[in-house]
Amino acid sequence: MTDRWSAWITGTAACLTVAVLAWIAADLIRGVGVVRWQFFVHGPEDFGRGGGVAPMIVASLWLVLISWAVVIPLGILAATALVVGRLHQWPGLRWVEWALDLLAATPSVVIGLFGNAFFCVALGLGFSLLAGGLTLGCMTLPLFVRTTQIGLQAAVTQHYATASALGLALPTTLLRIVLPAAGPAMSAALILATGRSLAETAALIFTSGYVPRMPLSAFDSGRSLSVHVYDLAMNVSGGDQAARGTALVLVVLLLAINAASRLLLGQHGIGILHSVNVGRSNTRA
Amino acid sequence: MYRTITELGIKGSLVAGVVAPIVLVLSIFGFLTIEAWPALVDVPWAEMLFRPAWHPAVEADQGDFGLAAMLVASLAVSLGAVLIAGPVAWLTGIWAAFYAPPRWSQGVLRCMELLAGLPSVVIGFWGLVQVVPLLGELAAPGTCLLAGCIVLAAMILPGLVIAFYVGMRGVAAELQLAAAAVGLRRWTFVQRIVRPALRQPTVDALIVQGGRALGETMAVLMVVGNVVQFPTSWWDPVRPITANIALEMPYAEGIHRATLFAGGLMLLGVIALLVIAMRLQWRREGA
Repeated sequence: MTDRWSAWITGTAACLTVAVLAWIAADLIRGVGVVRWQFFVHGPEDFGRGGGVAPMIVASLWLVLISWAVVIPLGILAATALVVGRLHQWPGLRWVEWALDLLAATPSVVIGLFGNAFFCVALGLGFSLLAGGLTLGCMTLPLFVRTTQIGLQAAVTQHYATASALGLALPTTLLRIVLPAAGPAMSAALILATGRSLAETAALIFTSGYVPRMPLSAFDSGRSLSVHVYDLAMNVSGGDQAARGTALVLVVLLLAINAASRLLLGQHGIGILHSVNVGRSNTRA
Repeated sequence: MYRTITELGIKGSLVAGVVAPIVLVLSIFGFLTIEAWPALVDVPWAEMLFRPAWHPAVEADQGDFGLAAMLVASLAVSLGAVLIAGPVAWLTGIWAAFYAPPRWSQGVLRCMELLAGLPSVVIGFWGLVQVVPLLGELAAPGTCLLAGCIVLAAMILPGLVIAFYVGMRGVAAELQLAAAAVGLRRWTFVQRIVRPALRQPTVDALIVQGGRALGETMAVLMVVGNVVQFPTSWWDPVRPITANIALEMPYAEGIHRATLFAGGLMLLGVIALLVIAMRLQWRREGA
């Protein structure tokens, strides 16, 4: 008897949980009416109530590409160093783990404050796509490092002893064996980081700004898709339908990214999502 | 010779890679402190921490710089989110781990991954056009603390469900067979064996997701009404500290700007304390 009741209660909770997703999706779908091909090639008209989102798509692309310039080199170095360092028992590695955990937990708005103070003011970049992209790079670094680290750790466990036994030097082992073997994990990490960047809003409002013009260079201010959704919803009366359409475009883009990372990560997917959510690395020995 | 130089180069860049995250964290703290410094010096700390009046100005003696109401609002909104999402996620986790057919529980988890992948601005938009009007029918205008709690609850729900589910499966694998063999009811098994075993991981997950809620900006900003005041009920409009930063940073100058950075520094301080507490806890567990 108890079991039937408990199954019923927990099942209701599960339905409630899934209903939240369904509710959000049902509202988003209503935006499909504004998404035609013109939506992707025209600029916004009438403060965004009409027209399209072409400048926002270009701005989002700029931001993602610039964030890659931070994340790829620094992230690969940091992840490799963590794995090799653990193997050779480097001192002080614990502090790097602390730093990454803290960075991962830091609210994006705080990273935005840092980006504004450092990139916009101290480096004199002003409100620009460059400043915004660099800020996003700092924000997504821990996610990239943690995901790459998982792939590298697996490659090292598998091949490192063999390589040492063959007398291969450290550079050869790393460049020719370990890094290529971790390729899929690295691609997945980059895709996850890209998704996080595309979804970000708070850190961008006061680093890359919200000018809805077509950006002509990385030094221009630009409005990302996510900032466009925010602006339409909050500051433009009658902008709801356009906001819905933009949000739908953004979400479909993110779903594609999600699917791509799942393909690359294979069965590790859920474990990585878990470790990223809980902040507890499952690579810890 | 060639070999040692390459090796040196690789070692050098690896050291750089190791140092980079630490440098980044230190410069975040450094730059926030530098920018907040005028406020930390010129605005009395008691005013910032304990007074609710927020009438920012460029000069310190021309305005009021109380952050108290916004700090309280931040705490209230994330606490409310954890109170709403926690029980629902726990029950959903139990269902997915012990009651549902495997195919169904995979379905729920897949849904949670989708929900976790939604940008906060999209969840905020849903709150604005769906939740707020609904609450507005009960008590106008609908933009209030409760709306913020609900939106944040939707945001942290997937993380909690996945954490609980993974934890439950971890405990249960062999114990579940043993429990079934001695004829325990599933509910008894969950209450007497799973729950005590998962006490610490559950608290950890709630703290981590509560921390996320505390730092969330856009979703909350869009639904809470953004009036600076101490909340006296769930139906009061409030302004959390993160929303304040996002709303005023684009144009703030002088002491006003410095006070926004001081608010960010406080937020970072709280998050840092949470991270340190969790890490110390794990070390005690010997993880």
